[in-house]
Amino acid sequence: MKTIRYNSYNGTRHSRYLLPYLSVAKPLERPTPIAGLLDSKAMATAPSRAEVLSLLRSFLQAARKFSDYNIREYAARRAIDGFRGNKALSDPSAIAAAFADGMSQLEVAKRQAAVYSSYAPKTKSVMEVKMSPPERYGTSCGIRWGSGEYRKIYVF
Amino acid sequence: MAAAAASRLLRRALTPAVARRRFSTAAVAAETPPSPLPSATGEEDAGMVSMKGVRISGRPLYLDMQATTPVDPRVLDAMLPFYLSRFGNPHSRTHLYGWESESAVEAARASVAALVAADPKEIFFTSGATESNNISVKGLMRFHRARKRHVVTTQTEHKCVLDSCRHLQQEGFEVTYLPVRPDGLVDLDHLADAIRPDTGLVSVMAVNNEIGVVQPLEEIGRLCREKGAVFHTDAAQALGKIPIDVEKMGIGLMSLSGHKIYGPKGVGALYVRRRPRVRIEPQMNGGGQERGIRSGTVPTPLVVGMGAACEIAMKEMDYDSRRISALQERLLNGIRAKLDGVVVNGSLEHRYPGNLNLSFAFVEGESLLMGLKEVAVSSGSACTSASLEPSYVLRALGVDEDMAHTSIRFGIGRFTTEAEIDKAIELTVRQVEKLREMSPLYEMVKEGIDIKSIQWAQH
Repeated sequence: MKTIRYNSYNGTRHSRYLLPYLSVAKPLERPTPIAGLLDSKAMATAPSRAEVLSLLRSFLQAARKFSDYNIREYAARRAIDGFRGNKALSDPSAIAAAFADGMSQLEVAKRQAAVYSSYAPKTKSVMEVKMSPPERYGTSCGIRWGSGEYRKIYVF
Repeated sequence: MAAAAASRLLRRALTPAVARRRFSTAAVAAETPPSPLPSATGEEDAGMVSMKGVRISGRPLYLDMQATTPVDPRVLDAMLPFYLSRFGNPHSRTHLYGWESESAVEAARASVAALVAADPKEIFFTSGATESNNISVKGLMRFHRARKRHVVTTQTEHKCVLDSCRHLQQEGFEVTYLPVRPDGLVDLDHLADAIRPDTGLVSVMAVNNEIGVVQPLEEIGRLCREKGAVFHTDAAQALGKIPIDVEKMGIGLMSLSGHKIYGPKGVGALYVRRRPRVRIEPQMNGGGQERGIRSGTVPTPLVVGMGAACEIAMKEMDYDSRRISALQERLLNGIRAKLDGVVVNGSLEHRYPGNLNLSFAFVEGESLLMGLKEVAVSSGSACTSASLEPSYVLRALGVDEDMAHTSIRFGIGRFTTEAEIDKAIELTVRQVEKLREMSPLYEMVKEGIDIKSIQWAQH
């Protein structure tokens, strides 16, 4: 018997049986230990709205950790679109499967955020650089005397 | 004890720092600050990148998806275990390392086959679409050298197909290079006329890498089946982007590439039909791997990456194509709203939306590219951009020399954002306006003079 968790949603009109479930996009079917564990548990009971929202929140937190501009934007956007796309799911086993997939995808995102940060290049994308100097000076090939230039003159 | 420590301290304080450091390898290593990446990109100080005489404030925004695509993090996640602990050779039959590698390769093969509605036994892994094209063209014709002496292809094919055909011509085969219509599509009546009884192969690429035009594969497949020729298509740019079904399209041979679908570079696949059986002569001889079609150890991590990329592509095809179409419209409308004299090369209707090839009138191409250093775009294809000749694909479309020189190819992909498109529009428009301001030809056109009617004086 599963213990019922008491939170602000129980016993109110936001009962788990009345709300349309937010769920996750259908990601890879690659078996990971975590998804395997969850499958047996999740098949029995569908996730609650709070669990699903917390999964989305974790996705957005993991997306923020990516050092690469494009991947970061994609991860956040795809998570939101995926959850929104699965909002209409009503079959509890489908919801549970999607939730399990979402958990495994979250693990992938966390691992990859660490890998990308370990190998992040020193310069960021131009999209992240505010008021880039070439635009200020009106040319992308202009000479710019930063502090590095002066140091180079005096080294023999 | 204390005296020894004190004398040590005194000695350290008195010895000049340079002399002390010179005799310690650790100190030498400590002098150069450890950088996370080998500094291949010139100097990177204060956030500026300086390379080949160009300074930009950050890494350019990437709009060159037809040249290559970034590896999807989910693909990298699938590949890494096979570089770390599961490093076995898939052809080792005697131990766990080999068994797990082999099962990973077979799973990847099934993923690739599922994306094109084929049987896994029909997929062979190669080093890329170029190798697959070579095997298809040369392998098929050499197998049937007794009875089939003719090959039909188009003038807009990829260089590897054209070069393989030229090689076959030197061996004594005949090749017909079909011209294309000005919108880039091949004329089906010309194709039907060109196929002879002794035609062994018809090779037409699915999506062109330079202009993005999608050929009518179903009609061409039907034509080839009626006439008894094998239909080969280079689907490197098409895989995972437009739906491909080898049964519906009557494809006999197909070349696939890993690094165009957010997978790793250095891997590709070849589809060879089994019913009716297409026979080819292997071009890489050796230990008989891949059923003798392509010998050599199958690179497990790369193949697993390609399989993962195909799985992802199958799930994301709808989402990506909707998003990329919207981005392409945004780009085209944004540029057209601010500039005139913008020509799209290739048909707009029969086009893969992620490829937009534009020509800007009265602007010189090299200077346009030099000014667009904060956007990574390409002019012509990556394989031909080393030479100064305008691209042969644009020449085959009938585009004028001056317009062919000013063509820019924008490649939009899964990871492109709206902000990047807006910035690309802004930078392109600014550069084109700047160049047109300096252009005397543009002034003349604005005054109403017809450029073509000018008699240029000889000096």
